[in-house]
Amino acid sequence: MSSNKIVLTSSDGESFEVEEVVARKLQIVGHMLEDDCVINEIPLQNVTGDILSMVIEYCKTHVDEEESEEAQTKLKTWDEEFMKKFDIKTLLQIILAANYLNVKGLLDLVSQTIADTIKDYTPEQIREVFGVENDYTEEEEAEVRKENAWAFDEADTPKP
Amino acid sequence: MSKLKSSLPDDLILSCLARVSRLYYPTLSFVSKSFRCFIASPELYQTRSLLGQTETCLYVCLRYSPDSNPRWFTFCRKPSDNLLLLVPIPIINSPPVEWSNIVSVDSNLYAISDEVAVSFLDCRTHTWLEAPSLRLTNTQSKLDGEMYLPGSCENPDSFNCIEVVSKKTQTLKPQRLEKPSLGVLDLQGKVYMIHEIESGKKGVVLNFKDLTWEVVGLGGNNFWASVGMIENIVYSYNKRSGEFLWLYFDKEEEGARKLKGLEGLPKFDSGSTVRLVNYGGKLMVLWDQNVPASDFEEEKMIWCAEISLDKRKNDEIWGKVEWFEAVLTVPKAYQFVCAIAATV
Repeated sequence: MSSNKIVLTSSDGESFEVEEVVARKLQIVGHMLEDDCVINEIPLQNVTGDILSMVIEYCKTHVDEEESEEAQTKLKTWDEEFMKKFDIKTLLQIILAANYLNVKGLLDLVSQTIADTIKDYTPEQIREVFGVENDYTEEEEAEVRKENAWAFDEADTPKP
Repeated sequence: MSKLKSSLPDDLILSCLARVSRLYYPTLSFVSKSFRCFIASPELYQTRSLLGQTETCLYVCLRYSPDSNPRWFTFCRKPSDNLLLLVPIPIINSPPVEWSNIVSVDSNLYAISDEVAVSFLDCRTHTWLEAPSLRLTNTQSKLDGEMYLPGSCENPDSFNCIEVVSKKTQTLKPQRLEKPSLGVLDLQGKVYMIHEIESGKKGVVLNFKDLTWEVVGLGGNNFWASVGMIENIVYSYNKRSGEFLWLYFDKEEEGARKLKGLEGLPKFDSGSTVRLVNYGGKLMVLWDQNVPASDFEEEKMIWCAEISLDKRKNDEIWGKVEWFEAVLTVPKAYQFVCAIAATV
């Protein structure tokens, strides 16, 4: 395998020298290399250095994906531990980066992690995290709360 | 699909929401109006099926008299305390007629009525829609070499009549069906109906997946109306003995055996309404129990248990109670219309 090195530069000017096989895990880079094979420095406009370093860490770990069950289990455990490091704000930055850099595996992983995290959020928390405006009018919201008292009423359901 | 105007592009939000269990969708719909549309959008369900993220969802239909409108409920896990509850769902449109039975095929619940064309509840959008007319579909017969067309020339949408086309004589012979003898069950996308026709009882199978009909032999159809069928085995609850039974139909014999195990399952009141549902290969049991409420009126509590089934060699089936919980409080004068699971 080629041990050609590629330098990836983030939007805030941080540079990362990685092996070509690692850089190719970023499909955006893969496409650039196909178009012109002499590039060895690639500027990545939409991702900051701290996030890019995490994407690179993921790609390095996933660079040779072995078929064996043992290797798959090991990778899965690594993925879980890797995701545990990040809070929801960082996860949102990583999903944007994984989408922009086109790293399919990481995109799936981080989507699942966000899904597992937000499922336990209240509607207010979800609005805050995603910056979604509550577009129910006051009357509509009152109606929703009335019809769905179960969701807003903190009192426990009576148990026999 | 409406735009969300959020910090993430819509397709990334879709990618996350599609991975959330449907148990959390009722709460998600409170986030905003556009969020509510988002989680009922075809794009979301497309993503879910691409990801293989489909799951079994329970639907329960009740009536609170004197209100004659059916109310629909589905499971929701409440984020604040992780309780599993049956919560009301708003349904768009209503089925055009009273239905006598309901069957589930994939993400649709088909309402079977005696008179009019079949309506179905699309469980993705919670909207009632009308199924295409079945009269013009292919028919086939494996048993007696005759073709059976649903309905009649005068009223092609009627389920009260079947026309038998004899392949030998090429004649069309209408067969009047006795009205209330619809026994309907779901079995791998098929609907079984039992009809009385001149020549005796016939079982007719309507296969919703490719809209074909066939005629089958009958066995023990008396049991069929109020029980759950899982992997070709019919389960029933015997109120008198308080036992769960599973039934077998053979060409030679038919009978019932006791479902063993079920450790930890509470005893039901003698007057309890009990419903059995095929919940993705598991047996889901719903039953009600009186609650002496603090208010003036007495209420009932609906309980639910999920039971996994283990078929053992010596013709025994063992049930293991995975969990049981109280899931809904209802007025005492409620009516349990149906409980059924869809794959969404």
